[in-house]
Amino acid sequence: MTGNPRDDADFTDQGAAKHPYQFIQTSQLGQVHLVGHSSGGGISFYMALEHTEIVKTLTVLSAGPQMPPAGEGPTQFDAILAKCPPDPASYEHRKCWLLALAHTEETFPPAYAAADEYMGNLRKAVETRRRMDAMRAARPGWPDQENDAYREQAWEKARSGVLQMPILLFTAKQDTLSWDAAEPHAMMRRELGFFDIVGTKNPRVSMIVINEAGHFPYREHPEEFNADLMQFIDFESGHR
Amino acid sequence: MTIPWSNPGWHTVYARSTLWTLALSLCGLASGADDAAGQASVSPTASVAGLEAKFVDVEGVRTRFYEYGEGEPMVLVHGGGRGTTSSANNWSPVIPLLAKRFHVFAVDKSAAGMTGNPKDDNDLSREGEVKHMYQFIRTLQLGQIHLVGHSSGGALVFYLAVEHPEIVRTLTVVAHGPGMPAADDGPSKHDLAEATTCKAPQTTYEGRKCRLELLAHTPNTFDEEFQRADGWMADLPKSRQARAKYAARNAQQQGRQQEDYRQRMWDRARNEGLRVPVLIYAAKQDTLTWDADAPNAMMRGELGFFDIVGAKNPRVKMIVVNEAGHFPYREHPERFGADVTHFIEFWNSH
Repeated sequence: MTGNPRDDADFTDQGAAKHPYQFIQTSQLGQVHLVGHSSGGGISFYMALEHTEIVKTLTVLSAGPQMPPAGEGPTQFDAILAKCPPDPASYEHRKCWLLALAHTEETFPPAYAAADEYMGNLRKAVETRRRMDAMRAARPGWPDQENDAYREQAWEKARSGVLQMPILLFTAKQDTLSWDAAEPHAMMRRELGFFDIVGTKNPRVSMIVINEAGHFPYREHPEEFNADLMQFIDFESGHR
Repeated sequence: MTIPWSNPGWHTVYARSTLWTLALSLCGLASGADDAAGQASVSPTASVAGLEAKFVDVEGVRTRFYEYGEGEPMVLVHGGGRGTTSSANNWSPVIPLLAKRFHVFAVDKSAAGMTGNPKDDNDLSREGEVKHMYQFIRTLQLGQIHLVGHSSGGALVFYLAVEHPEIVRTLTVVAHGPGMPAADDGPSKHDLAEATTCKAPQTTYEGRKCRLELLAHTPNTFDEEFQRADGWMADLPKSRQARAKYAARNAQQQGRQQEDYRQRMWDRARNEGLRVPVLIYAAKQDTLTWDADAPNAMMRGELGFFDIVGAKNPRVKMIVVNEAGHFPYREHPERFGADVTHFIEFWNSH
C-alpha cells in the first residue's frame, strides 16, 4: 500500500534501499534489527552497507536476486512459473506464482492472493507499471543493468569487510528459487555464495537451513523461525 | 642412557621406538612422558583440561568416558579412531558448557583413545563401533539420549539412530565426513593439503599432528596438552595393535563392507524416515567438505545428507558457522553449546 517514489530512477534496487532508511529515520527508531525477505533481503543488505551505524543485526531470509545464481540454468521456480497463466496482473497468475514459491497449499490462504490482487490493481500500482514500462522503453537494459552494477559494487564493499554486525541467513531446503532445475534437490548455492561475500571478513555470519519449507519459511514454520531469530539476536547481544 | 626426548623431534623418535614404549609400560613409566626439560606429563588416564576420566567395562572392553552435569542424558562421540587419533578429549571445551543443561557423557569409541580394542577383529569396522557405543549406553542404563557425533563419530551416531531409534531423543551430527555423500567429484581441499604438506605417514605422531593441524582453522585449536595426550594414547600398544590389525584387513573388502553398510543406512533413513529431530552442524571453512576445485566450500556433502535424513522428517535443520574448520565446537565452543541447547530445547517444547 506504499506509494511510488517521486523520481523514476528510484525504481531501481539502489533507489528502493533509500526508502526503508528514510522510514527508520522518520520514525526515529535509532539502531534496528533488520530482517529482509527475498528481494527485501537484498534491499536490507544494501541499506546495511550504506548505513552500518543503524543496523544492530542483519537477517536475510531466503534467496533473492541480489545473491549469486542457483546454478547454470533456470531454477525449479522458473520451470514451474513457465506453466502459469501469462497475465502477471491476473489473480490466476498471482495465485500460481505464489504456489510455485510456497511449499504447502495452505501457505497463502485465498484472502492473501485476493489482497495481493487488490493492491496490484490500485491506481498507484497501475501507475508503477506504467512508469517502469516507460523507463524500460526510454532506457534499454534498465533497470537490470543498473541493478547488476550496483550489486557488484555492493558485493565488493561487503567482501572488504564493511558489514561487521552479526548476520543470519535463514533459508529453506525446498525453496524453488535456490534450486537448479537440473538437480534433484536444492543445493543452496545462492545463499552459500552470499555467505561467502558477507562472511569474507565478518566472523559473525551464520546460516540456518530448515526442512519442509519453500520460499516463505517464516509463514510455513513461524514458531521455528521466530525461535531461531530470537536465539541469534540474544546470543549475539550477549557476545559483542 | 641418552633420553631421546631432549631433541625437538622427540615425538617421532618416541613413536618409532616400540621397544622404548614396551619398556616404559613394563616399568610403569608409560603414564608419564617427561621430557628432559621437565615439562608437564600426560595424566595416567590421558585426560585434559582438568577433566576426570572414568572407566566402565562394556562387554569386556574397558571404556573411558567423562561424565558431567545433570539433566537429560547426552552422549558425545568423537571422530578419528581405530588407534589413530582423537578421543573424548576433543570435546573438552564444550563439556562444561553443555553440562550446564545436560547430563553429559563424552566417551572414547571402541579401539580409540583409552578404550580397549574389540575382542573380535571384525568389530574394528564402523558397525563394530556402533555396537560398542550402543552397549555403552545400555551398560550405563542411560535410557533415551541426545546423541551428538563429530566426523566419523557423526557417521556412528547417525547409524546408531537408524539401528536403535528407540534410544535417541535428538541427533546432532557435526562435520560428519564419512557418513555423508561425497562433497565433490575429486579430492577435497584437505586431501590435497595433506598430500603435499604431511610428509610423515598417518601411522606416526608427526603425521597425525600434521593432519589435525590442517583440519583446524586456527593455530590455537589444539593446545599442547591436547597434542601430548593425543599422541600418547595413539602410541599405546593397544592403539598400535588396532592400527596393525585394521591395516592387515583386506582394504578393498573393508571399503566395500563400509560402503554397503552406509548405503543400507541411507536407504533406511530415506525410506523409513528418522523420527527424531536432527541438527546438521557444519563450518564454512571445513576443508574436508570443500571441493579442491571450488573457491569456497559449498556444503555438498552436508546438503546431500540433509536430503537423506530429511526425506520423511520435517524436523531437520542445518546450521553453518563462519571462521571455523573441521572442529567448530573447539573453535567456537560457546556458539556451539548455545546452538545445540537451543535446538534441543525447541523440539522438547514443540
